[in-house]
Amino acid sequence: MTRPMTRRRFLKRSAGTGAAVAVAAVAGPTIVPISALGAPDKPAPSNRIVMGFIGLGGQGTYDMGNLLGQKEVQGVAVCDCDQSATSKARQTVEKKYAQETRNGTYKGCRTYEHFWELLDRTDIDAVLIATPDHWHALIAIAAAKAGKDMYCEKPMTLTLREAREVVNTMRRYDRVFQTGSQQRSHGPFRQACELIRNGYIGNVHDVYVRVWGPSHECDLPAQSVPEGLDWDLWLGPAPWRPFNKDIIHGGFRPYRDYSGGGVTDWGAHHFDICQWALDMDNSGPVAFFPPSGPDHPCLHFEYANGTRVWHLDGPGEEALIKQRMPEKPKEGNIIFFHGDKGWIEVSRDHIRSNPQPIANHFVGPNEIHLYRSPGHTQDFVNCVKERRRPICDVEIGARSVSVCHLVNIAYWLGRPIRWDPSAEEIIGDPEAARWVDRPKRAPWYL
Amino acid sequence: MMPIRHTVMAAVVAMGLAAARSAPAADPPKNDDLIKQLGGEGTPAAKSATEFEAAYAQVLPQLLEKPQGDDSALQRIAFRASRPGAETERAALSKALVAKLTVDASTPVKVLLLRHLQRIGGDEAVPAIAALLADKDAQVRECARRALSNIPTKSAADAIRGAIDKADDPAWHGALIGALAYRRDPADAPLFARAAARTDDAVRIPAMIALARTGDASALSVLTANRETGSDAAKAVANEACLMLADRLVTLDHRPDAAKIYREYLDAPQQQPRYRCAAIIGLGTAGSEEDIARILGLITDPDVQARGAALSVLVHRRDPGTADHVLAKLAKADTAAKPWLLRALVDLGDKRAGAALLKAVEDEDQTVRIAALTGLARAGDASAVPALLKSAAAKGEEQVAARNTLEVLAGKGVDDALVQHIADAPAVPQRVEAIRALGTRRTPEAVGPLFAATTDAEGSVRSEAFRSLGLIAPFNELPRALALLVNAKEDADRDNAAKAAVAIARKNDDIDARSAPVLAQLAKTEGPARYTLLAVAGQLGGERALAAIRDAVKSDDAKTHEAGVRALTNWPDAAPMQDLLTLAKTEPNNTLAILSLRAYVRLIGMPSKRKPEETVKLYQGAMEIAKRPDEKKMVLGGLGEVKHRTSLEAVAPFLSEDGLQGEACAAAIRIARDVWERNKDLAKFTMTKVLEVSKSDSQKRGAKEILDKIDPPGHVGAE
Repeated sequence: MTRPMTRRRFLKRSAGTGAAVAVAAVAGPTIVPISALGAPDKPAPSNRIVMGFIGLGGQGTYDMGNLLGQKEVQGVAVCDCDQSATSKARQTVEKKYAQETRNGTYKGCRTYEHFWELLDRTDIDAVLIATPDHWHALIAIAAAKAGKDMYCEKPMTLTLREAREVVNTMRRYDRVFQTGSQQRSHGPFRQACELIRNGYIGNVHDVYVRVWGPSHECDLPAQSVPEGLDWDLWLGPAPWRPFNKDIIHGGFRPYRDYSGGGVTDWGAHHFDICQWALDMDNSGPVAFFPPSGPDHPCLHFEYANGTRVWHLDGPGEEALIKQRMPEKPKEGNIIFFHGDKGWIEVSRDHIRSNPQPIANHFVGPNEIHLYRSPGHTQDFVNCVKERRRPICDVEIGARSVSVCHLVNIAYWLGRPIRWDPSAEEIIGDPEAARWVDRPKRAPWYL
Repeated sequence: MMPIRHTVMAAVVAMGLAAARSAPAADPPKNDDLIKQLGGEGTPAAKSATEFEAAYAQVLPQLLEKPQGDDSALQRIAFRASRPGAETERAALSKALVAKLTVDASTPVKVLLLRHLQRIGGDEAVPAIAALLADKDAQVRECARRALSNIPTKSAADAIRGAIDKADDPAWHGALIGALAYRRDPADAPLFARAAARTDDAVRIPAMIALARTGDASALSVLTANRETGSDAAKAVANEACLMLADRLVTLDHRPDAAKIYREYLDAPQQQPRYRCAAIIGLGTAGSEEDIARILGLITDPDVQARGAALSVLVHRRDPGTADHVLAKLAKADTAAKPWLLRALVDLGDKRAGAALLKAVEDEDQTVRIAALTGLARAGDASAVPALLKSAAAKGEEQVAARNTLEVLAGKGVDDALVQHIADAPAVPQRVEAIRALGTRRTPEAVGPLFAATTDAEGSVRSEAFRSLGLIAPFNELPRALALLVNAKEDADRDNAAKAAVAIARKNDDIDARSAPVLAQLAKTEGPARYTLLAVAGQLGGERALAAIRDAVKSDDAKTHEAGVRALTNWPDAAPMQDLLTLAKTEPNNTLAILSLRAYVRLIGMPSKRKPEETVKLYQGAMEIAKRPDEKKMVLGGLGEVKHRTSLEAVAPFLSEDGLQGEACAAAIRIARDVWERNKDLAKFTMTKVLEVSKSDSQKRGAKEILDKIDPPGHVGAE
């Protein structure tokens, strides 16, 4: 019987490395050749992308389904610290391929509790990283060092420094990194951004973004750890605390040790679109202001050119809408760009504008066009094959999540934060600068 | 019992401080008020360091009562105290927190205090935190380690260094190395170098990474030596650290030292692809001209990852002469290399890329042709139009690539070239593709030529011209499109003209205005064109159009009557519901009666302000009229979208009816999913029936899920 790999055993094996998990190779199972799958329309093995899937909660399972739907992808491994998740995921993978075999069976997907064992497999080309946020950077860096390309869920990291480290590592090893901010691959968001880049609403002076608020400390009571879950591994680099069932399976987002809350969860989508529309993918805002008094009832941040982005959240939202916005925004998570010639509002289910025809205006061949993605996962697959940077490349993911982190820091500290987007440093506030990163629980480190 | 009234003043007086003796004799704030004041609300709670210390000391017992509970009040205080210009408050709070780090404090209290000290602590907190590095509780030791790691003062670093000197346990030693490395102080590089030279992996591995982040060229000897000794894990980390160090040397402007490392990784036989990539990328920044020439050669390397890295370097550098090399290689390249070289030319932005791509469009290999067609989107101009049209007239992936490029190909002359090819292209399919491209590009100047093409001798040209006109022509061109409809000699042309007319008319947001030209034309048109105009009007909506269609329905002329009925069945809103119901009941032409009923059912399902039970009644009325299973299924489908008890009741009788069971079961499940909580008996009855009669496993699963919600398994409900 195989003994489970505990963190202590891992320490003995890999000698305390955190991000440095490029440990000795572990032999993986032999892949069933694609010819055995009886699928003549499948790409030749040399053109296939063999994938492992790490983190198999709701979002991970959804992403895995999308990736398995790409004809070039063959899934061979699933990994989670919750055994029930890996068991379900393996069934999903094997069921899919079983349908393509002549005899209706397939057994070619292996389960792992520990991501470093999956990364050790030399036959795996790329991985999905869909763990809770506090694990993203460490696993991404380990995956790059193991030579894998990756589709990493948003928000890309838990801290500002992690974001830059992930970029540096991806660039060092020339890895393909797709951030899971998939709105860039949605037509209406690209349309809105192209219209703005082409000046259809003039100079954008204010943007209003409705996403949920920041995270906070976790104060949930202790409960017993369910069978099959490695709680210590789930926590990983986060400070130790007792288990509570409401933290796992997506419940981690309100808590600061694991996530930036709604600000990073949805901000990694909507603030990301702001960055795209405002042509700030290699830069960022220069100042962040928490709510302060009747003139600034909501948090906002400013770019060097004076464009302000307001976070529609909290008790000041109604006042802000009345004070500043030319039109009441629709319900839900929206982005509202206000320029000196009109406005555009966009969300996942609508795009509207004033003047009204702008929203549906056809952006012609001789105007500015942005990256046209064939779909977020398809774009990732194409870029792995062609060694190109995808639509939501690591630098883009890093810049967008940095905006989110700085929004949170301003909320948490309750004071303005000055940011140098070039040096990526908080200016003039040494205590706020301590939030650029957080020391990780041993043995994990960047 | 008297309430606790520890006050700032009382505490200060107790400490015998003269400053406090002169304070006004006002009522001191209660703890809750003081907590708010210290958090920044209202008037400041104190001024001097001593006053702040006393104030913090007063509130801390209350704030630490539930160390694992909500600490937002302490957080507000701590974050306020950490603001710029408030060093007095920060240090005072830090001291107050330290004072609570007593030996007998519980682990949760220590953890909470250390969390805040990690964020705001300074020199004043370091000795107490350092002492906790030896705490008996591992969690406390770990929190103390992290706290020191994040305190940016020299004394904190010294405390970690001191602990490293005393560390016996390799894992703890490694953790302390990590704590020091977090600070990224180059002054610690010698310490890291010593640790990296140790034999125990738990220490040497984090030390190697730390050394790579802080060291200079002298660190290389330690790291390279480690590549040859110890565990596989340590060797792998040594390689990573070497490459990290090389990257750092580039930032320190020690490029020759860095280049030496990169070259070694590029030259090593059997090198792993990721290390080769890192070497190529690194040499792109630190390498010599010779290195860059070598990278040029790697664009055609058998390893696709090396090719990608080489391309990335060359495009980033944009050295003069790179494109010359690429072109020279392209002339001799094999099929596998050509797409990469073509991409390099495009990414380099070289003016000759267009010509090279045009030549490659004629390549024997389809992969090369597709790469060329795709590249033309960025590097092509009007001269690419003939080749693109030729490829667009082909089939499969090549056609897709060419069409995509034609849609976005920039340049003023492109539209002119496309217009010219409507008439001049050497083959009909290419003329069709030119027309198609003008439509997808929304070229307004093409409206005239497209109208001309609608009378072309070739049917496929005419058909595509109508489609593109629908996309491009503005509303004021509607009469012209209607004239084409009226004058069409072939049915296909008339139908295509009708589609174009509808598309053009819909560009006007005023519903009555959009149909006005159609009705004007209708008034003076007879024969087949009249029937088609009625069909057009039927798709546009508006009261005036509806009146015209109602007149047609009443017509004694059978064909006009039929055209009117058919127009009604396509109506875009619920206005003619009553007309359609009447037709469904009374129309002698069975086909038209069925079409009317189907349209009526469709309109019932449109969004409305009716109450759900009223909608259900309308569906029930339609069900009574329906004679065929197809229409009954439509009604059941509609009922399935009405999430109300009455719709579930309406569906229930059909669960037993042969031929309708499948749709009835599906509808019942859809409704029950939304209404079971308020209608448990009905939901239970219908879902039990679904389980009994359905032949679908998924439907049975759906019914079972709802039944399990009503009566959870293992639950014994009270009767």
